[in-house]
Amino acid sequence: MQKTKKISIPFVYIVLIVMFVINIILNPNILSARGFNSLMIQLMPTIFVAMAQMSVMIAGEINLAMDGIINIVIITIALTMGYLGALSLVFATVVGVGIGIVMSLIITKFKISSFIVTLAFGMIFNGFALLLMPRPGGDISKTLATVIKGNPIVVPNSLLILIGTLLLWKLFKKSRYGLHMYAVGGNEYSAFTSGINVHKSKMMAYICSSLFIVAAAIVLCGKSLMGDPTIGDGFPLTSVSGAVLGGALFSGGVGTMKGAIAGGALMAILLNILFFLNVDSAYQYIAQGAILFASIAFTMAKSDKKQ
Amino acid sequence: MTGLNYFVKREKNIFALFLFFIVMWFIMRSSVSGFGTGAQFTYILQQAAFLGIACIGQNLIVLTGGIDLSPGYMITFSGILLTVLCNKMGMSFALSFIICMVAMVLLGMANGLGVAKLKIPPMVMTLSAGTMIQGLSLLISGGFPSSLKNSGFSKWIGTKAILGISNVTLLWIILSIVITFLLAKTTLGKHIYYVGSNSLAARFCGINVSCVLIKIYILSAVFCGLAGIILVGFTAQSTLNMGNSYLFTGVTAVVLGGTSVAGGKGNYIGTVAGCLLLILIQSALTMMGIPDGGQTLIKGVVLIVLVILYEVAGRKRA
Repeated sequence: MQKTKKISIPFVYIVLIVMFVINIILNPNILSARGFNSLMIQLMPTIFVAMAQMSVMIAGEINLAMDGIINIVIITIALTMGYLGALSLVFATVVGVGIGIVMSLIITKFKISSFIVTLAFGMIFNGFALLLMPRPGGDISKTLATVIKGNPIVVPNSLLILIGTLLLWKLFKKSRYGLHMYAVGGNEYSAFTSGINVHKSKMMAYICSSLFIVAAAIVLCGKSLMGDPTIGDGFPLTSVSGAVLGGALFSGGVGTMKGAIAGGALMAILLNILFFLNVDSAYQYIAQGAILFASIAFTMAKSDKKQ
Repeated sequence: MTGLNYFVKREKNIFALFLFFIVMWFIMRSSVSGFGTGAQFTYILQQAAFLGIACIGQNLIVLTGGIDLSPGYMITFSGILLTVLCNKMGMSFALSFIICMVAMVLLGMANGLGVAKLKIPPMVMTLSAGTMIQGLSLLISGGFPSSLKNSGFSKWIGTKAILGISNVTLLWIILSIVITFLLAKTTLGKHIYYVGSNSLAARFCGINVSCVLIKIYILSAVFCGLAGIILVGFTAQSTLNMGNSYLFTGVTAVVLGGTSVAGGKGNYIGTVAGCLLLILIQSALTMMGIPDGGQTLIKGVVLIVLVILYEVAGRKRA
């Protein structure tokens, strides 16, 4: 037993390291401070959405509204930054968290599958974002970009933000709410019978998810410096892949944020490598699908053996 | 008649949905100028037929408690494969059609094997397969849209069979009857419901769960392929994003039709009503001049409101 425990490094880390090394070989530039910074900025949105998906998957739910929330948050920032300045980030956070709370209320009060509720909310806010701003535009202050893209102390600011979020999550996970979230995801019924407020825990999961999504949206804002109402498209599926690669289960109760970060980073770094290889976009799709399939199949085979 | 009475009593939601469709039709007809001609009704039926055929497979998979994220890519792939075989390779339409169907069976089998044998969650399996399929589509098409030169098939799609109903609609009606019969009266149908409501119990009852799942995923791929081919016949060209809108619209139609995403509950008649309603809303909004964003928003609102209503109504009965 001891021996098997020693070598059971989650598959995703190994693949991630291999991919990272391949990326370095293809583009040694990423070892320089500037190259590493730009790589981090590219990975960050995907990592954040994977973390967002992980936090709801731990509680046994799913969140497919990411595209809608990211789009509406970005549009909110783009429309209000001119008047409110930095306050618009707070306003956007309130919007994002509000959407999360409403979704969790509908899911828990009416007992409707989170798949449908979040799908519908994704549609609603995708549409709303497009109505508010049919074409990319709006003004986002350059300060945001310098904060997000900068690296005054060699280490990229984006990496510091990520580490900060991870530490906050560690604190949260140790707290009562965090423990309850895992318990609810593991077995909702027994969590309920042991006196845990299931509805509240699920709401906490959606609030966490919304916060991570807002973080992703803010990074995207700083990256592109304008409000694009369709920039979030495709993130729900990427985030599910990232979270599952990172060890989340659809049945809930398991998964770590470290895993989600690795899974999200893997999804993004893969695109980066394929871009650098300059392969035909047809093969990019095929490689992306194949690596996702292989990693998940391997992870599943491993977890099957454990059981 | 007792059969109909029984159906109305048991399937109140679906009955209400059809009623809602008819009421909506008349409201739109009186409020939106130019809406509600016979030609438009035919058009709505035809558009709903595309959606309906494309989400047969989704319906079956959702009944088993899974989800298929590859329909959009499958539709695109089969459409593109057909035009490539017909135009570039110069094959006859019938031969290309058969090759397309064989390809779809293989793709569906791959999905099914992944879900049933490798135990990969359906969402991730179909997503990764879908991504690869999109790559294949790009590869064989070279990224360019191509048009179908076989005019006989396009003509067949456009012609009206009887009573102003087009051939595609007729095909959809026949398929609906077949699928409803399959779900209600055959062993496979019963097995689908058992697997959906409790897959472990189904296995202990001696049902070969993997076999059922593989069959379902093959059926799904085949119907998506069929929808893609019909779509190519209708628009006379294949593009790389022709199937995209069918993925989440298909799921929406299935859910509107009262099929539970937890599995084991629902039927295809509901999905038919869901498709009709969605297409009606879409064409009414287009005629009112509401932009794309507004249409998506309203579809989302309809979905969430109806699902909440189902839940509340279901609770009262229980």
